[in-house]
Amino acid sequence: MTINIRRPGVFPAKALRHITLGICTAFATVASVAIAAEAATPASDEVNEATGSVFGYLWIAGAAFHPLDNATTYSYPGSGCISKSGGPGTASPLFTHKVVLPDGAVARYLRLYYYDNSTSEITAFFTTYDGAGNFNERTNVASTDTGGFGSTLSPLFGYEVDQSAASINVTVNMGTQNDSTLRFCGARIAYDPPVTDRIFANGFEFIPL
Amino acid sequence: MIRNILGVSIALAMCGLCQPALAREGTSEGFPPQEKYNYYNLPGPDIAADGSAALLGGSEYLFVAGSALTPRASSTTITYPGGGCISSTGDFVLTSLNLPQGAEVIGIRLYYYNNGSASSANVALTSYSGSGGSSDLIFGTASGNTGYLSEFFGPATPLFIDNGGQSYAMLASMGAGLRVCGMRVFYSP
Repeated sequence: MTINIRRPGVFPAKALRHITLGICTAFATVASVAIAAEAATPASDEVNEATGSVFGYLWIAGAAFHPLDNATTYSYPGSGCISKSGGPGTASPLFTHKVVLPDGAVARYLRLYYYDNSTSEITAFFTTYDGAGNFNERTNVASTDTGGFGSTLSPLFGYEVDQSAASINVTVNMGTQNDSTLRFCGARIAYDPPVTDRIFANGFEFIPL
Repeated sequence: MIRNILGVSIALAMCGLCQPALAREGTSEGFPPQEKYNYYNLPGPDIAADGSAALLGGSEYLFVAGSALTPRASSTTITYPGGGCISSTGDFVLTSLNLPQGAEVIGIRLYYYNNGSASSANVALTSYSGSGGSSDLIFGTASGNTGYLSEFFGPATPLFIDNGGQSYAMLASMGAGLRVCGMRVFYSP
């Protein structure tokens, strides 16, 4: 192994990652038994309990969302969160962001991150659009008044991404609160990555390392 | 004696095995042969502001136009002078950054325009925990002052993407007379 003297702090770390991966692979079988015995029950969007595979994630910070209505006003209280601050009475409380997942991926959960110290609530929707004016809300999840930061998980759902058939947005309804007692901090989608290795698609169980 | 000869032979053999790796590192021979690497964007590997080469190996770019950035507060106003560039003198503008799990971010190149003002443009790659935490993993200030320019900024420490643990966003801000025209992430999947 050689060290890139131009970026001495970086190459060793990368190399170390590969070395560590190799060591971890060698001990994975033994370690997994002990870990399984000791670990707490994972949240349901951490492991696909049906297949045992690990989810992929798409996590979008609240600050990256934009309002659907130009008249809607909003502020940035920090930490990647946004708060609706008002606008005319007809201003939409909706904010949205596109969702780009690999073709064939199956979206399973939508987790909403928020700060909720209000009587109103935030609701997030995983919505698909066919481009002909039709939409389908595949799942939704709402905040609860936790008195601070929190997250809520949607029910399990299954939407297989078909880029040729529909676009996807996560759209958030910020409710009636117009101050920073209610903040939208992000949305995380847990999904099953598309199966690219067809050898293991039928009759074999492929367990990624 | 035989043991010494054997030892030298083994050492020479090992050096022979190491030679291709040494050549690929390019630390003493300039840039490595281009055909060994998978760069998708000419003119080739990104170069840090201090002149050092980016990491070698399979690397890719993600290039986001300035006009794709949105304000994080509605009080921020944006104008569009054209060419994919934006002008804004308010708070940061940003876009979500979604890279493959485990990818190593080598740095961000900020593309901007300055009409000759003394102002500067800032770029950041920030992570958010969703529960109130945030961290500027890359932060840079570009201060070139004539025409269309770009500058590259790397992380202070090695930066690997953890999509399950936090969200990421690329942010930019600019003073009067400046335009942000894009941000290009250089990463190793």
